[in-house]
Amino acid sequence: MAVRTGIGWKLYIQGYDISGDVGALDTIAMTVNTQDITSLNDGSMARLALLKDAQISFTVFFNDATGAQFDALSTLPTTDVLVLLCAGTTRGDPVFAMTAKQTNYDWRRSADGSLVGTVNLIGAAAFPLEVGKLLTSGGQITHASASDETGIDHGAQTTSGAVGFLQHFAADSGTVEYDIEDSSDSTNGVDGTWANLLAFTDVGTPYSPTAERVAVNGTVERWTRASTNGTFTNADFAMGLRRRATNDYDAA
Amino acid sequence: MPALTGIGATFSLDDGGGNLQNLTPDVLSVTINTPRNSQDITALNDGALRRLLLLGDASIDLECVVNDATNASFDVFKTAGTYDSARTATFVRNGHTLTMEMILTQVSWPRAQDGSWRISASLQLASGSDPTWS
Repeated sequence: MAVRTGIGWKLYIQGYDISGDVGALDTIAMTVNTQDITSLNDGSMARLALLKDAQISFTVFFNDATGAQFDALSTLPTTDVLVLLCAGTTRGDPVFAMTAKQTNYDWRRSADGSLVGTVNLIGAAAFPLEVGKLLTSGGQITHASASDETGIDHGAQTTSGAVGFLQHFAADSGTVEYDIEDSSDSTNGVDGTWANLLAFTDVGTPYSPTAERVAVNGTVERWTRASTNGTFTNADFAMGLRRRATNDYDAA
Repeated sequence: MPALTGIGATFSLDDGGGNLQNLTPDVLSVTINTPRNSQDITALNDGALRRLLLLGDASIDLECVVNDATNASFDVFKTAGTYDSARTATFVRNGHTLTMEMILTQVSWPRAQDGSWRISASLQLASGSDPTWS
């Protein structure tokens, strides 16, 4: 592990992979509002941390191919969109997850003929910008049938719950059951006994792009992995997990 | 003693577990402001400004690389959205130490078009105590 660059990232929005259309991520921000509680007997300012907020903004190229940025962003949805930003594509790499509202879809055609867009996403649904780990090697992967990814080692069991993030891109047939499983006795992410930690909503025909955030309380074992179950063919998806820490605002 | 450069300074900040972590290898630049507010009490018969010093304040602005080694910059700043308590921040240079209790009010993680990735963080004084160098 070392100082990281921003090369080799993936950006998924509500089941669309727009990684190839994004030139730069201008803002990936976590903010905290404060309250001034400075009293008469203080010599300097005293403050409390209040509500948190989140923002992701990026520049985008005009790609109107099927499943590209135009399909993903041009409708300016009024419902929440779930963003999964993968800072790398190796299992265990950091991911940023955000339940967001898309506030714009702006374009500039410059005098030199270039066409560049800017998109801004702000926090919605009272969740901050969440940081977790990638569970699927390569970011987006394909399971031809029900199978399990190799797990990642978090180092120790925790007891404050976890949050799972799913990006479903496509499938060919059947109904896909997306799960995250955990294990206390695995030694390599494959062996050992695994049990269901959390389950996402099953995805059936017409397999439209979608995304979901699921939270679970209590014990999370040392190892976790992405898993698909049920009868289906060729499910394309990506998954991440944020393990809550003891001091997190939503530890449970 | 001659004038000091910033070379050899150290900076540490609490992580989301309240543990002080040395971020010195990851900090590209740090700006520490310790302003004092003032009240203008200039009267009609004054020929120049007259002031009183009021409440003090402090802010820290950091520019860092993203280092995902254990207890480095990524581990410390990733909890900005989930850890609500104040954090101890310590700056040391040539035996002089400034320690303050701060709120981490903003962390940005811009990924530029050239492929670089960095952290910009801002902290504000939380404790009500005067920033004091030792």
